Amino acid sequence: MLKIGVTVLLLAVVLAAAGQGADVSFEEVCVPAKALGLAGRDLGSVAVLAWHRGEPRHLPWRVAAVEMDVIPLVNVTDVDRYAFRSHALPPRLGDETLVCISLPDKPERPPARAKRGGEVYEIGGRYVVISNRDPLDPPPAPVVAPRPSAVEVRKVGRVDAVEEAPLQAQQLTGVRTISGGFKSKYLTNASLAPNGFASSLPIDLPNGTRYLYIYLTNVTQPGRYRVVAVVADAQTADTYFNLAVDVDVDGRSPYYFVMSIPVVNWGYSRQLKLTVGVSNLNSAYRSVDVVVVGVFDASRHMDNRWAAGMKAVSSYGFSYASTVRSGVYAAIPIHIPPGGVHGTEEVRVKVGAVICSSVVPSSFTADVYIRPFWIGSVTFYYDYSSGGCAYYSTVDVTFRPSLLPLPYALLGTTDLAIGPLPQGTSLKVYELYVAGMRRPEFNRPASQVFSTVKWHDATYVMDGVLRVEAVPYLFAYSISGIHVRLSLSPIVTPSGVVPMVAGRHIVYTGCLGVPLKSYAVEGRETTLSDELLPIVRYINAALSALGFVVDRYAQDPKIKVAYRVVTFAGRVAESALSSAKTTVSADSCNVYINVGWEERTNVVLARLYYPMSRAVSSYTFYTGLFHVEGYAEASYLEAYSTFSAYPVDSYIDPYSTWHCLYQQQPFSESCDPQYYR
Amino acid sequence: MKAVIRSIIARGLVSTALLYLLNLPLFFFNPLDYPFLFALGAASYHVAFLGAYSLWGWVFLLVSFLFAAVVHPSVGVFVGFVGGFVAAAALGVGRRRLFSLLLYVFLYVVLTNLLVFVSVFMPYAVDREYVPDPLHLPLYFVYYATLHLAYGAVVRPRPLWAGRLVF
Repeated sequence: MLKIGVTVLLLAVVLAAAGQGADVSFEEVCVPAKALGLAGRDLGSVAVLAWHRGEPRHLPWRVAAVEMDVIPLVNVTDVDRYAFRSHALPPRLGDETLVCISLPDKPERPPARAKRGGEVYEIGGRYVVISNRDPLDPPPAPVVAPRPSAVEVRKVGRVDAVEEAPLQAQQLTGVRTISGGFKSKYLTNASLAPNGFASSLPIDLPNGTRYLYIYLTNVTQPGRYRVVAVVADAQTADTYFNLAVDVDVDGRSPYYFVMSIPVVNWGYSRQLKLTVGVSNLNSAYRSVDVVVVGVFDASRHMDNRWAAGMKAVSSYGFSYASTVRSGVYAAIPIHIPPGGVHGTEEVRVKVGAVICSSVVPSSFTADVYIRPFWIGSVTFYYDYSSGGCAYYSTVDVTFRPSLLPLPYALLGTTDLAIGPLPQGTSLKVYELYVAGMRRPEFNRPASQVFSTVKWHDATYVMDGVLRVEAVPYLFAYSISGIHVRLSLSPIVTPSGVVPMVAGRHIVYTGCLGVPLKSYAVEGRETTLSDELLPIVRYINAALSALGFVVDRYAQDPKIKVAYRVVTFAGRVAESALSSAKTTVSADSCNVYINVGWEERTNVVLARLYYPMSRAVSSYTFYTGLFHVEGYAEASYLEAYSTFSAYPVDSYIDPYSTWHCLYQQQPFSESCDPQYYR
Repeated sequence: MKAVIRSIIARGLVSTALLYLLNLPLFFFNPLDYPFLFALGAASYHVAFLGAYSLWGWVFLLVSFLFAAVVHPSVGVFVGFVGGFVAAAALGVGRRRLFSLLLYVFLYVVLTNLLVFVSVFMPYAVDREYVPDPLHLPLYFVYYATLHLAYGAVVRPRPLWAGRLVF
């Protein structure tokens, strides 16, 4: 009863806050980086803060994006036709790089000493603190073609950082932070009337929530919005956080940071609920899309490895067509799943290059991006010449990017890009991937949530993009089976869809037995092949009486392996027509996606269910081997998930057990950390 | 007699060579990536024989290839397979046209079925079912030599390059 009362109360508070004036109204100004003393600084080392209600708050800040021409890293001769123009954050801030900061209308003068230190600037009469970035601070957003503002900028002092007592959560041994994004269906691509308002239902926050970041995604239509966030205690209905912010969306950034909520400052050991509302301040209908990114404590176990990219099995490597334009970036699509354990991410780059030209550089340097974030640089050193071509190699590099963890929910599918490359460069890729550890959910392992979340998430890139996701089927404290979802998509660029290679794509799924399977090909159409195939089959059957005997004879498993029949017109015609459409088959160790020549640009979705031969309480599921028939090189990039079947206490209030994720309920057996951490 | 045998062997070799030559593009390019090549593959088995006697054989190849390139690869494949039997009528003259067609179908059925059976026990060099395997050359030679023998005895078509094919 109390909870229903709290829910109603929270919604009323959010609605009331949206109806009143904003607590903070942002106005963006763009100034050169050197005016803020940021020239030469790495973006991963800067945070922009303002004081509000006596606390430092993150300000939305954007950096002028650098333009780049991107080509997909695919082995097609006409790769230039798929080139497209895109943007990324610059590796470092230049003197004149425009930095756009959304200034609050009523910022307080920062104190001389506070828990976050930094340089204090007065921009157009408002105080801003340029601070060193904490690893959990939100990163900036890129902005296309910003205009400089005519405001006066001057440095007016500094805030000295003071040491604080360690937080309660940090004292817990083995606690690591993970980030994840979540969306409310009421704020996902929601259409709002002029002055209209939409709100999420109150969202339970686990005990162990450190920060919440609220973003508007680029699905949001340009305009001005009021975003309201309220965090209140579910037991006492006390409100700990209530902020209404007016923010502009201009359609020139991939995401828009709105506000941060430092739950860590007051939230431990409290049962909290978050409610987010958005009102449309425009005079026309607008769509809004909100993502809440949370940073939560998570214990060390249940770490699963996710990966995205490619890794050659042999020393042959993957060879790619040469670049036609000079200065392009070659990119592979990757998917970064939410739930990453902070600090475990790595970007691995092991590549070579060949340039066939009379004039070749002695070395060249290329940047590596997980767009829009710059990750690092690699230098290609001249190795040797052969046949009029210069061969380059790089030192194998593993980057550990500081900007990666936070925008998980925003990134989703992005790309891993390397460039700029000199004209005529053929890349040879041995390893190009991003990987890390993840906990699929911040909830306790015994939560029923774990029976629906994706424990396993891996993306493999070859001629197309293969995504492998797995969810265990948990029943009666044991794993009854594993659901695997495979999707094989062509690489899509703004300039067009790159057709996949027709033929067999072989995916190793662990030798779990023959699965139950179903598959669908998106956008499949009935074509002449479908109509002619039965006719050709009929004619062939009529002409191949003895062929049928041979066929039947060849069904004997011993002979089947070696069975192939001499090719004649009928056989060529039948196999040509039957290979027009994509098919999926599976044996006990592999799944074979046979991409049809008519369906090279269609997405294939396959659902597999592997029943476990005997009930187990834990099973480690591996994927990694991906091979395309006709390719000289196979890829093995390991990803794994250890499924564990914990007893699910369905009789316990899920909110209460969620809360006890981090102890604090001493008398409840259900909060035994053995099970719930 | 020796001259006839020499002639049959020569024609069989020419047809077998034509078969592999016509399929060369399919060895170099994967027909799954260039599906119009399938029509070339399907038609080549007929043209390797018919083309030795009639220009219609080559017209048939061209038509099936054009259908594949312009209309749809599957139509080209269909024409390349079924149209070959029709094109065989061009080898006969007058009333023998229908006989030529039926003989060609009959020989195709008998020979391909026999050779299919033999091929199960043969090794393979190329792991692609769309192209004639180089190790199966003797099978194709037997197939074409038998066709030439039967047609030489019964239909008596005039070779396109008369005198040159007959040593």
